[in-house]
Amino acid sequence: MNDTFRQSMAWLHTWAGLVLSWVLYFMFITGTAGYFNHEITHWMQPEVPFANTSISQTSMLSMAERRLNQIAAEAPTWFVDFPTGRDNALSIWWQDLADETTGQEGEWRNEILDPQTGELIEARKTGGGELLYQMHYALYYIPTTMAYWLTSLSAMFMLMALITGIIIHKKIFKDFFTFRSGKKQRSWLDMHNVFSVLPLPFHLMITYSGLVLLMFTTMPGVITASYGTDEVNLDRFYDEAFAGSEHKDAADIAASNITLSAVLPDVEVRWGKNNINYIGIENRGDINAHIELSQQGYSGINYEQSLTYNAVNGGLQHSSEDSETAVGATQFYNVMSSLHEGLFANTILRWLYFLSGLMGAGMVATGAILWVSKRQGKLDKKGQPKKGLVLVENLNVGIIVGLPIAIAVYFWTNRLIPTEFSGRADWEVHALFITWVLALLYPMLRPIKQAWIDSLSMASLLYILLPVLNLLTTDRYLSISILQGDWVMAGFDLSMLVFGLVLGMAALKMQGKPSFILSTNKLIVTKHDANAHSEKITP
Amino acid sequence: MSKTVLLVFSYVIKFMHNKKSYFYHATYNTVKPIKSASGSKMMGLASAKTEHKTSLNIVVRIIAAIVGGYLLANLIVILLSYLLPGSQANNVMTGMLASYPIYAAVMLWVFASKTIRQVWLGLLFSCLACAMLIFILIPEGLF
Repeated sequence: MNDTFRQSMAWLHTWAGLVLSWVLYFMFITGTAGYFNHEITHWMQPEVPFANTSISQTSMLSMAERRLNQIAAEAPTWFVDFPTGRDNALSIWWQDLADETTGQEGEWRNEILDPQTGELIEARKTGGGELLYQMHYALYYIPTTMAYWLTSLSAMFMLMALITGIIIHKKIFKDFFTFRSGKKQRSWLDMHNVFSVLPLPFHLMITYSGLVLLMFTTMPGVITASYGTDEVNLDRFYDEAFAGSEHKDAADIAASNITLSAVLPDVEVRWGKNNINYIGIENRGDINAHIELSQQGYSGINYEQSLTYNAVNGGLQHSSEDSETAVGATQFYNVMSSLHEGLFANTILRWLYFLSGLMGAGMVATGAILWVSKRQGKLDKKGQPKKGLVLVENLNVGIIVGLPIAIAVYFWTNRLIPTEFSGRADWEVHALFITWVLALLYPMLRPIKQAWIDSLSMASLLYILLPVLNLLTTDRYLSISILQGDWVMAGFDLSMLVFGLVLGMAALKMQGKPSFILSTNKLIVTKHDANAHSEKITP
Repeated sequence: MSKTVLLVFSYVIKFMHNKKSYFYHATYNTVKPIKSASGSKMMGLASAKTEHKTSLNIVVRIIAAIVGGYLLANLIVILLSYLLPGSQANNVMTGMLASYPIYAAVMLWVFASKTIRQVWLGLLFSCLACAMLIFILIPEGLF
């Protein structure tokens, strides 16, 4: 047990928690953006015209089916996504045939059609808001399963932090009403408490349900202990646990299928006109083919009110109203996943979700700042500020402000990369991460206070100028969107302006209050100085 | 959030400082016991040497919490899924849903325990007890 080993362990101790909190911050920010995934995609594909949702779904469906028959006649799976008001795209999806030699599933492809004319719209390729949403649990550049374990570990850490946080706060409600500004570390602690306590039910819900959503990956032992490792038995588990969601596999017996439009009359009787979110057919051309629909704007926590029809004879196979037959634990699981995804939320509730998510990010960020603040003034043997501490301080800037900068650049590249460039969707994301790396490096070159101010100003500028960029590069600028009544497009531009202004205000505030921000960086501070007053700290 | 964990850690550290030095002895054989009367003063947080020791103690606990906690939580919920009265699928789902609060409770216990010895013994015996019951109750023909 030599000193190096101890030092390495101390290093691990110092870093493990902090790195996880950075992962959590990433998850909170991208996941929060994900509550507006459709809206973001709408902004990122300005070629898709603003659709009047009063167009009849019957006519949209027949246009979509015509196109699918032309382009994907052999595909085993089709889906048609109707415009919902959160987006304006009539999109068609299909899956290529599985590779017969390798057994690998076919790739998913999609096209966007004009809801009025059914003509193909050449929208720019982009990951859109969906990609931001996916990143919050699948991360990026690393295998999905590994990402699930990493995000679950972070969420578990978050759950522990919440529970211990509640335990150590004897005066949790009093603390909530206490905010002492301009008191350095005390202010950060107060801010941390406000971010944590007000949305505490949200934090607990989102953390637990997030863990539960990945439980089939992270807690497979329980299934194995009852069902073994045999794939057939595992399938039996999913069939039993999710009884009711009729997803029969193809029987490889050819049969002629009815058209998608053929089920519409029966759907209209049940749901009324133009109330479909999506309609799809699986195992096309097979005797086990079925047509599946989900309802739009269903107001209840279980958003996915759905119907499944037999695609050979057109009979109703299953309605989600029967899913009360699902086992109790599965119903609980369904409620948890619905609460997490918030698909049922209307505009106001969606904004509440968004704000709660932002407060979660704020809680993690202030926690990471406190981590440094607590150790402020710690010196190494040579009387210099500790290197590790300085590094964490720098990285905090790069993570907390750098990520918003990187996401802004993701939006910027969406407008700046030529639409015909083939790798554009990938490069939007590469740009996001390259920017983030640069934003992480930048604070090392500057005094810490200046690094905060510069990064915040940069972020502010990028967000405020986004609507301007939109004006210069598209014909979907703010005033036009408002005149058209396209509040999704206008809402995005306006939100970016607000983010930019808030970030700018933060930059100004930081400029005026030098003592407010911790600083051990690039300065020789004696312990006494740091404790007494940090006013003398100048960049 | 790091702060809350840090606070818990600092409680653990404070707690340890009030304890007699056999605590350190139990953790690493190389560290000699220090008399507790003067010891608690000497082992102030500022001392770099002590910091390493306490950090190592915490690292051991973190490993016990994450790995040991995962194992024990899994064993408990497997046992639970065998003992619950409902259908097999329902019990398995319930087990999975319950695993996270149970995991969290085990982790809390790992950090609240007085000594590392207690942590390892506690984990070992609870795991063994669960494993034995599971072995008795395991459905026939599963493996």
